[in-house]
Amino acid sequence: MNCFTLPTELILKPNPNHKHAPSRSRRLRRRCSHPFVLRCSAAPLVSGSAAIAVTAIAAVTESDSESAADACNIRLRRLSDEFKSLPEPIDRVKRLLFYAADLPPFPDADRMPSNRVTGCTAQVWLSARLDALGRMRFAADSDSEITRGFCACLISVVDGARPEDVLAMRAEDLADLNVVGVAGRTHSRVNTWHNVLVSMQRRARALIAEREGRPMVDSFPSLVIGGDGIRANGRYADAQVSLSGQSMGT
Amino acid sequence: MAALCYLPSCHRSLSMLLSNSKSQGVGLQTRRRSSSFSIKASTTAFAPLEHSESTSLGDIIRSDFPILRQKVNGRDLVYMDNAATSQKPNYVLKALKDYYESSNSNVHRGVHYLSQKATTAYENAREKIADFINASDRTEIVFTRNATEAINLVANSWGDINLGFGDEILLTVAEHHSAIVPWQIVAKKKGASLKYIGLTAGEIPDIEQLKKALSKKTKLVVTHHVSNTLGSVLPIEDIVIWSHEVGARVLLDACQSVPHMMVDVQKLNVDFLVASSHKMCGPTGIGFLYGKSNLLSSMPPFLGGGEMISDVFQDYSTYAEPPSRFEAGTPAIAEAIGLGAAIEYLSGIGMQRIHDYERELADYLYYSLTSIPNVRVYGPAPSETIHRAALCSFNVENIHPTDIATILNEEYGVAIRSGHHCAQPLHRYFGVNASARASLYFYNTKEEVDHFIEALRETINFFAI
Repeated sequence: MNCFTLPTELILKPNPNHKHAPSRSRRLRRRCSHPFVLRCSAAPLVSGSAAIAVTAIAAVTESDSESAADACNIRLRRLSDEFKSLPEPIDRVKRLLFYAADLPPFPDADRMPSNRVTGCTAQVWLSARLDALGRMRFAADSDSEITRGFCACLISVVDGARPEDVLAMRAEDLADLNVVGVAGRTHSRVNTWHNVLVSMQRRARALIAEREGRPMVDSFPSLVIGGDGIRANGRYADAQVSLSGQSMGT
Repeated sequence: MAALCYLPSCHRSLSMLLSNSKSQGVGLQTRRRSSSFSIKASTTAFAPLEHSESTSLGDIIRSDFPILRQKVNGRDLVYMDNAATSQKPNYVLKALKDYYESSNSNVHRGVHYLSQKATTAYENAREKIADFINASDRTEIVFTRNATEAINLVANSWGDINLGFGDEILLTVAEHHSAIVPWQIVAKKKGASLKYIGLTAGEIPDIEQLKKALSKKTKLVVTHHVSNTLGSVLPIEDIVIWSHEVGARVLLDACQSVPHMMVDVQKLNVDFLVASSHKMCGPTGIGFLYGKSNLLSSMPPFLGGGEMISDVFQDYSTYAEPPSRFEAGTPAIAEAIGLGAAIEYLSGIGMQRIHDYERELADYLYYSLTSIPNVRVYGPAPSETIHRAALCSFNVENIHPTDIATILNEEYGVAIRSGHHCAQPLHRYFGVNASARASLYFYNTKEEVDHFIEALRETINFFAI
């Protein structure tokens, strides 16, 4: 069994309200920006209870690919549980805004068309790289605070994961995290979870190809009709962006 | 108000509005010649009743719209996305149900009783549309799936044979994508180009610039009547006069005007007009193209298939006269009849009355919204000479419109739109990616506007650090 190692960034912030379950009210309370939690950069925030809970994240070695995938799933499950524990949509929005407040600044140099996540109603940027251990490291930003919150949550699940684990995630896995609107709605154009995850996976594929020394050429979007069924190959919107070289937004 | 509601009729609110005077109804303009299809009341007769002068149109009419009684997360629904689509009154819902229960059959295709009943109802609907916009003949109305398809029809049919290399199509930067994209596609094929008119400092399309841009090269002017984002209204009669002087045709996107005011194609003298049913209390899946008879007669078919042919041989076919020439396949029969019912319903209230009420709502919405700090509303300020539609697209400083719309929905039950409203060029013109939009219809009330404004203030506070 490998030892647990906690990533280096631990953030402790005071939260005078941590015992308070937000009550349903027509009048919105100003959101509290500093809840008292222990947060690991690769772990979801722990919600609600008065005690500080340390979320132990399994650190993985090269040989323990099963627990690497487990780590992602554990983080996703904890995040799901966290949001499910907040039955009121407005509280889940507040939680998202809290996550958004802690998203690190996104470098201006990375705001380029190839880093745009297409299909969202807000502008979303996503950058990805492999660290020295071959794990995915993501950064994201958006002009919408709620979307920044989505990105921060997603990053907390997949940041530090292997590219293969990112590829293994499905949009359906995120259905529980739908903060607003109809639950389980994964294919709407406004569903940011879905769009950002798809972008993350595209970058994971590219980084795997690079790692294996294969040139990663995004195949032109097409419909592949084979004996085993029909599947879409690539996203037309992404191809449009990269091929046209337009600057997205102003 | 309660005393007026005890009557069992499903359109009792509409009944309450009607007076004996016909002055509010459609048809004040020069009457068309009557045709073989007379307009019949499609279900029950109207019974005019007294109503209180002090109750607003929205207050009276709301009970005709069952969907408005819904709750969103425990709050009353406040529906302010009417520029996207309108809600349907019981009168229209009943017409749809009645059609399928008693008249359903394919049209133009049979001699049996039901097919004749369906054909009559379907052609009656066409007649109603023709009357509604004062077309000179019902054959000038082509049923389409929606306004977008109608524009594509003109682009692929009229555009295909009338546009050539070097020709210009004039549009404004405020056009809806459906009025832009079909022309981009055709222009590319034909070697024509699109020219855009910008806005004045008052955020209305620059009519002087349009006048100057017109030339012998201009073959078509595509313009909205009422902007779905700016709320501005254009002087179409003048635009048509100037355009015709240089030999250009005019296609009018009337999606945001036909539902809200009297539109008279004889007065405007446009060559083509498009509108969608679902924005005017009618069902989705149906819209129409109005085209002057001589223009439609000169146009080749758009879609091929049954209905639009005269004779079909193995290697060629001859085509039907308009409008059938452009109506291939089995049409959306129930939907067309539903649109006819919607027109009857709106005419029963009176388009002038609807328009006057919405003018009040428009001013009220605009001034309420602009009283909130850090809110920027797009389009002109209303005045004696500048009329705004009852819609406002706006942005709040430092808060994304989608975030605003999300909270308004989740916490207050208020439905507004956020995004680019199918007007990306306009948003790019303003240097923004998206905006929020509240758009009203005659069943909205000032109280709802008050609720929206209060909710918006609180939402803005919610996001303030």
